[in-house]
Amino acid sequence: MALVVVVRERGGAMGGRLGVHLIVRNEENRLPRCLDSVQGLADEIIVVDTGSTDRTVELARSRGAVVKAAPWTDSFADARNAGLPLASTEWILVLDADESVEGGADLLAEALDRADPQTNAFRVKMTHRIGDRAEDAVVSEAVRLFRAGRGFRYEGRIHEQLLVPGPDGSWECPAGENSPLRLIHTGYLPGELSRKETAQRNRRLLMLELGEKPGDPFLLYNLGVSYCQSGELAEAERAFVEALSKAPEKAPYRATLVRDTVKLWLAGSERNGERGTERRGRNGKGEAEWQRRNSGSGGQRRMYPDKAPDKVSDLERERARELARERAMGLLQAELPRYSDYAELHHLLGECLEEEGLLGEAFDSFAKACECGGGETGDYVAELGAGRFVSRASQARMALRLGAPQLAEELYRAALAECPSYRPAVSGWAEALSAIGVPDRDLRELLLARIGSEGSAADRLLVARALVRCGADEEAIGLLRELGAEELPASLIRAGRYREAMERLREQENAGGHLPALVQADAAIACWAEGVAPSEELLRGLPRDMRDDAAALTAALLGANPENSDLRGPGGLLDLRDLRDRALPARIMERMLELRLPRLAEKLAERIPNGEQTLAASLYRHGYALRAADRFIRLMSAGQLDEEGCFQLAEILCERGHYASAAALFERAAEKKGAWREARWGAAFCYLQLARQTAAEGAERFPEAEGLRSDLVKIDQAIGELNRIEWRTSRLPAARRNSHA
Amino acid sequence: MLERARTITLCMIVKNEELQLPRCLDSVQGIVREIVVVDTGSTDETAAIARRYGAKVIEAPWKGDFAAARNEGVREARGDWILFLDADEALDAEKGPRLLELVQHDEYEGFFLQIHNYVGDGSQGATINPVLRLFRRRPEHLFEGRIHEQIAAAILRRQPGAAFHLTDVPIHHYGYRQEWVVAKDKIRRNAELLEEALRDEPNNAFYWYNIGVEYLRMNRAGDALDSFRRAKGLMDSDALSYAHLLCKYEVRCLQAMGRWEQALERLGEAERQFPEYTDLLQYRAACELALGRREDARRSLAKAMNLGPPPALYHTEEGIGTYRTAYALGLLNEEEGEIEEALNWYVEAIRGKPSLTPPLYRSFLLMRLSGRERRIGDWIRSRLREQSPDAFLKLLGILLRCRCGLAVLELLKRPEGRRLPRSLRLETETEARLQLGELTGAMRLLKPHGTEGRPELLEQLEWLERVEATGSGRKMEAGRSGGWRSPLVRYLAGSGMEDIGEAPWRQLQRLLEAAWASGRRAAFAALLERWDALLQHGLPVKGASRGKASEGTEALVRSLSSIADRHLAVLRKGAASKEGAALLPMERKLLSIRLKLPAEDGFR
Repeated sequence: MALVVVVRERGGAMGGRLGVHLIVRNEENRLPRCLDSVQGLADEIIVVDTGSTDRTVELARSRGAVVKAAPWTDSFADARNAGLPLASTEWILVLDADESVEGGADLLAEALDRADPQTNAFRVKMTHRIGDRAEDAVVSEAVRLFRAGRGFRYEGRIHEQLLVPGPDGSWECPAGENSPLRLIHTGYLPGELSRKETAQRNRRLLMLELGEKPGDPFLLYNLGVSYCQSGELAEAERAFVEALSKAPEKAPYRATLVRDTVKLWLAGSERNGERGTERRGRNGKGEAEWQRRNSGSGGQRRMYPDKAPDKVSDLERERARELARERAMGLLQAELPRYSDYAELHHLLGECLEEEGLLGEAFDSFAKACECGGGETGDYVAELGAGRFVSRASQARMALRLGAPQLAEELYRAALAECPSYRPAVSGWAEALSAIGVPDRDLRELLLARIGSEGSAADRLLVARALVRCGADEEAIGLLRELGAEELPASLIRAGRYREAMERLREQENAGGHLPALVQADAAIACWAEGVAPSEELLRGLPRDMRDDAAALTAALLGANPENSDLRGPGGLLDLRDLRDRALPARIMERMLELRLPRLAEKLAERIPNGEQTLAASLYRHGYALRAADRFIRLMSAGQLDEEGCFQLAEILCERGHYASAAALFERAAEKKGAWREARWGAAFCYLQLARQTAAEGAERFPEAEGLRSDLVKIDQAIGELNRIEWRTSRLPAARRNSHA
Repeated sequence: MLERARTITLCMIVKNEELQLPRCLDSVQGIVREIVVVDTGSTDETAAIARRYGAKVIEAPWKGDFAAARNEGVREARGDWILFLDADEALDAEKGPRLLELVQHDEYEGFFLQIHNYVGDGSQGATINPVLRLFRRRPEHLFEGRIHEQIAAAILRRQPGAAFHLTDVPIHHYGYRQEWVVAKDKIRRNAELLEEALRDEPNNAFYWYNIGVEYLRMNRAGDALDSFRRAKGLMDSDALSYAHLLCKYEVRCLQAMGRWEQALERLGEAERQFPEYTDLLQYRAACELALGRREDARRSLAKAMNLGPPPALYHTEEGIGTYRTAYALGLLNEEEGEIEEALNWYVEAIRGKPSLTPPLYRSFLLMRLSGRERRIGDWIRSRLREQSPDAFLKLLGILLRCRCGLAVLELLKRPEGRRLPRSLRLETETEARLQLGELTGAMRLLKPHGTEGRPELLEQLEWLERVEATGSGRKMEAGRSGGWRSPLVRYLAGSGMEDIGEAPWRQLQRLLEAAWASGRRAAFAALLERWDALLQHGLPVKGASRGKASEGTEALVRSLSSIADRHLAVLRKGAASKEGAALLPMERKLLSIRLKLPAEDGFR
């Protein structure tokens, strides 16, 4: 290992061009990586140690650093300032032990040598990793590189600020010019944060300093951040809100404070931290939901999760989300004119608008985020993909929902060009391609080509899942098999390969360990689909009573089948009282539809009381509109159609242009359930269509009636607006294949 | 020597003007001493009518030359001054008599009067143009030009120092009203004459200008633009009285061709040349709007408001710099969600021209849609002028048409409301209650006053209830001794194609919306079906016209839109309607959709 306290004759300063300065305590784990990253770049390394008890000092010295011991005075600024007078170089680069140089070092030397003598300081780009995936990072810029000997100093116990004497003698924050240097910071990774318990220490220092400067907005802001890190969200919110009310408009951190406040509000109201592509859950439940509900119950050996989430708390949570969203939008609307070049603020507004169902507006906001780009962030701190692939993919998602798959495809492709393994872009691109009619086989080839031949297993799994999501199970099977993915049996069932699915499940069961409940269910369903009773062997993992339930269902489904030797009694109505879990048939029926077995589900529905009602709604949710419509109409004439059914039938009628009947049904649905917004939108939409028909016929009959023509234009505009708002049931792409099945 | 009072002779040339002539001649009674009418070959009652007004009628065959025909009349005139009008014009009743004082002045050779040209059916305002129409009679003062005959240039040539005076006396010109223009094929005639004249005098700027105007009216914007540019090239001086108008027409051509950027460029030059010409700013705003530059448009219109109407020498459109500009600003602010600002501009427009109803309609609609309906009463009191009983009643009518039933009920409780005659009060309250879905309440109101109130309406509502109860709208007569009396109900009940009355549409609108608002779903469906049948199978109205059916279609369109609107109204979120705070995105979207729906706008 080379010692690099070498004096190079360059730039006048005797110590050389660039010195790297750090303050440390007990950093033996992280320091080597940091110092190794500046080898060749640093002409001098100065480390201020505030009391390490581990090998930190030794490690620093072994890498050529000058180490100065300094007492810890509860002030980061003091510690930093202790090192600055030792500099013998022309420039000083300040680093932390959890940072390292990621790139740009080669260009830096030239930039420094070319620098105008007036130039005092440079900004560096920082990437803060917050998770494993490519997109899990936050980017910012900071002034970390400045000339020695110009009076620079730090101030503040914590979140110390760099200051320089201005022309009039007062202290100023240097603006700094852009430099090519890029740093990477790992201190925000979840493991790192808790290990160091930095939040605790930071809190104490912030409190100390707040005692000296009560109500200082910058300190309040950072106090809020530290509350966020320790999960105390209510305290964090209080601190942010107070900071916002006090921060001067021009304060460099203010824009980021707005961002963090918005994110806090939105996160605080989120369910299970689930965010992103497959939300809007009223009707859009699908594979993801199923898996979450099932895999959540870990070691539990019940075949199915207990019950649907509590409706009241669901409503309350929905209301809380809405209020938080409205606050967030209010703040963003007020602040965006000031920070109109802050990509992430546009992106956040876009996400709120998407939640509101304002797809057109959301599209515009994401587009604005992309216009800002993610290049020079200046004073703003932002998520890595904001204004880039994340915003681009969101824009594409809006295009898709707005019925513009061609545009969506282009936008997703652009997102993937920036980040090839960004999951929402991979699955969205597949959906868009599928929507514009690309055959399944080509779809797989295109996706695989995009991740490249050296794509990792994780990337290939991404492709396989995207295919499954689109309903291209046939094409996914090869990949799933190759990757040993647990989704394989389900895809085999969807492809009609029941025997193979059973075989595979038996292998898994025999390979030992408990099969997840979901897989157990699938095994039974595969057997029923094949027309055989599930063997003892296949279900042996289940408790005795659950096996009894399964047997009862087998009897109900196969009993009437004369060709089957496995008869277990006569067919006929299943008595739910005989079952341990009375809600079981309904959930099985749902799963059958997810596995694309509508006829089997219908068969089951015939065998259970009230089966029709449950089946109709499930069929509808899974996209079997034609099959559902018949049942809805039968239920309606029997006076048994509930409000969900009214809404769903109304949607079917509306889609087929029967606006008067659809309007009446939407109204019935809306009346039965007070604040059902979607039903109101539907009713308004139908009346507008009726008005449109009337106006269009009139305009044809009476070409001279100008009033009618201008009314027609107005109605068309309004209908267009309603089409850009999401009120219709949204379905997973796979379910869209079922509309004519 | 005692000065003799100066006299005025009216000179006209006419052909087949029996419809319009009386209005024109009525307007000069007591102002002109003598009327000379040159008739170029009427085959109708024109000459007889003129004689009835004491006119001297000269029969002169048409020679394709307007100046020659005019001069025949001028030569016969004996008054000190000559006023010339066309049959489709009329002197303003209020300011016309001022001409008698004006002609006593000796220092002028002629007077400019203000021509108000009415476009379309007249409800969309007028363009105003100063023209020389009154001049001293001298043998040498004769008209020149085959078409668009001119007198000013001729006078100036003979008498270069002649002084003209600009008056504010209006002449109302109805000739450009669309239907008449078409009926008389005036445009093509004018264009043909001008083309002929230009063959003789290809360098006559005035002809080029006039043919440009005709081309523009014929929607030949490209030809018009060329003509205006020729005219500009030939003009000897910018001081020419129509130089500013030439700019405006050029811009209009460019706008008609969708060349907005070019139009803006041209406007920039014109604004430097004619900084007081407000019309240019209004045109600028139109270009900026077309280019999506709403903020710029708002600024331009605000500037136009500050400037006010242009000085009298400029050709302008009525209301520019005043109520029209204010109305446009209201619309623009409305679309931006700036509700209070929009309301302020509408008030400005109403103050500028109290007889203009569109801003009232817009204000009421905007207040209802933005959750301010309960404040309408106070707004009327504080922002509008003192209301006469008639005007108050008119306001109530507009409110009802804007579906502001709640505001109407509130106003009826005020002293002005209580002073209304009982029957009107009753009628208004009933309509308001129906809008609010209080069907039973409305019927209770009508019942004790069966005869003095509205027996027809009561019967219609009874029919509604009956249909709702029995589920069928047909063959209802049996259920009621003597059958239904109201013709509309008889039709609705399916008794066939007899006369259902002159104006069933308003009644149908009221019924349909009342049925919906009161939740009478079966009755609503039955009404919708009957209304549709009425439109589909033609009107059983005696002497029914296509016009009536188209009105019925429009009424149905608006009723259906208003029901869509009622659903959208429920979608407003209560929490977000705090006044003063910026609208949240969903509120804003809802408001903008609802504001754009077809609704009564006061333009008819």
